[in-house]
Amino acid sequence: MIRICRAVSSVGLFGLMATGCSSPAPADGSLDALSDAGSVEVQVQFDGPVRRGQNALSVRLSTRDAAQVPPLLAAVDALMPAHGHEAHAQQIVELDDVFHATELDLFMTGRWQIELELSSGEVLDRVSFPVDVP
Amino acid sequence: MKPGLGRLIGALVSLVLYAGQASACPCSDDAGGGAFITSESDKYALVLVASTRRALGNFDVRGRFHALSANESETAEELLLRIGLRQPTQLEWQAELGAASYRFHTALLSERQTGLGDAILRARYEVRNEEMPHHSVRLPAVSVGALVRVPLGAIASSASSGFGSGDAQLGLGAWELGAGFDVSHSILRKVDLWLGSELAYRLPDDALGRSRQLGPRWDLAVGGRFGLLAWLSANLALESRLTGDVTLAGRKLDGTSARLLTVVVGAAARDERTGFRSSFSISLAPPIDGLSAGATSATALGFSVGIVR
Repeated sequence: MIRICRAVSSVGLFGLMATGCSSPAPADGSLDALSDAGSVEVQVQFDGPVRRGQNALSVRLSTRDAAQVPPLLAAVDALMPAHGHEAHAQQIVELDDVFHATELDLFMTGRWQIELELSSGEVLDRVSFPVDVP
Repeated sequence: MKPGLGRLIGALVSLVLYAGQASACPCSDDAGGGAFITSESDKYALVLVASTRRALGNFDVRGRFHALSANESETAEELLLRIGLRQPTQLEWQAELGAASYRFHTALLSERQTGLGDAILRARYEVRNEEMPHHSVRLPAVSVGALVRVPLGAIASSASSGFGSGDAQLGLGAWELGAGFDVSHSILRKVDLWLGSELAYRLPDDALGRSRQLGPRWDLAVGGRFGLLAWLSANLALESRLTGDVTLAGRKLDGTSARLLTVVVGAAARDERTGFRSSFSISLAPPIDGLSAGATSATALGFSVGIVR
């Protein structure tokens, strides 16, 4: 079936068809990127393989400017935008400069968008990344 | 017994047989492959559709199927009213509005939502009828259509999370504009084959509290109708739905597209004298790796009754 889809998409009749048959990049739950504002380096690692149900993740935040104080991890949200499902980490604790977010219930198989809300006083910043829940 | 009475009894028997199963796949989100609910000789039609849907599991973005575990379930029941009006003869105006009850249950989460679905307005125009059998070359019947989905559904006005993973019984939360066509051809005296396709564009919405745009939808369906008796026919269809990636807050999210393949079988009974119509259908999105992706595999039973004048 995948082969058929690719064959049809190669004809280029429908960009949508190509979308439906494309194979998205893997999303295993790790991240090493800059925040949306570009001022915070964010490292994320799920504690173990991402699974359907309760998950935990560790987040390390550092500023590109050493003189700046790293922000706090204010919230960890998850969203399935097509389905309208949302989930939130119930607990976030900081230990040795690493934030541990726990009780994040990714209750459905599929691709979730994880959003981290970073807070530096009144300044909010975000970073988001996908994870695939089996 | 009069023949007309026999047909009416047959239609009622069909109703009784399948009423206990509740019914079908024609949920608020179905599209493409749809058909006229009136014929050229009719003025209007009223159809009530009841359906129940149970999810079997979900396909991940790579098409691997993951069954729901024993402590997970996702079910929905829907009641849908369809109205068709013929004016002029070759043009049918359709309007439909549904209400649904949706339940979702996992080990840690349980939610239930009940409310209206979206309103869908359609216009279908018969471009040409199929030639009569005595013609040497018989071209198929062709019709074209357009639709507007009006987001009246519960999701459009709800701030709560979660409104279903498969079809959109409680609404998409977005306006949708679509167009499509249907082609049908009789290959034998009692067999009609048809092909339908519909392409739809979803307008940006804020159903999730921020800017979102659902990807476009393309439905393609092929099927056959087999006349078993003068008043009874059987149907078989294969439906494919593709939806594009979602854009959220201006960012297109890779891996949020979906592909779903569904098999539908059913039967329909009609009584020409009274205008009574009844049908049932069973649909299944086969839980087989690779057939679908990013979508929910579900089975659904549908049952409809209607009157045509």
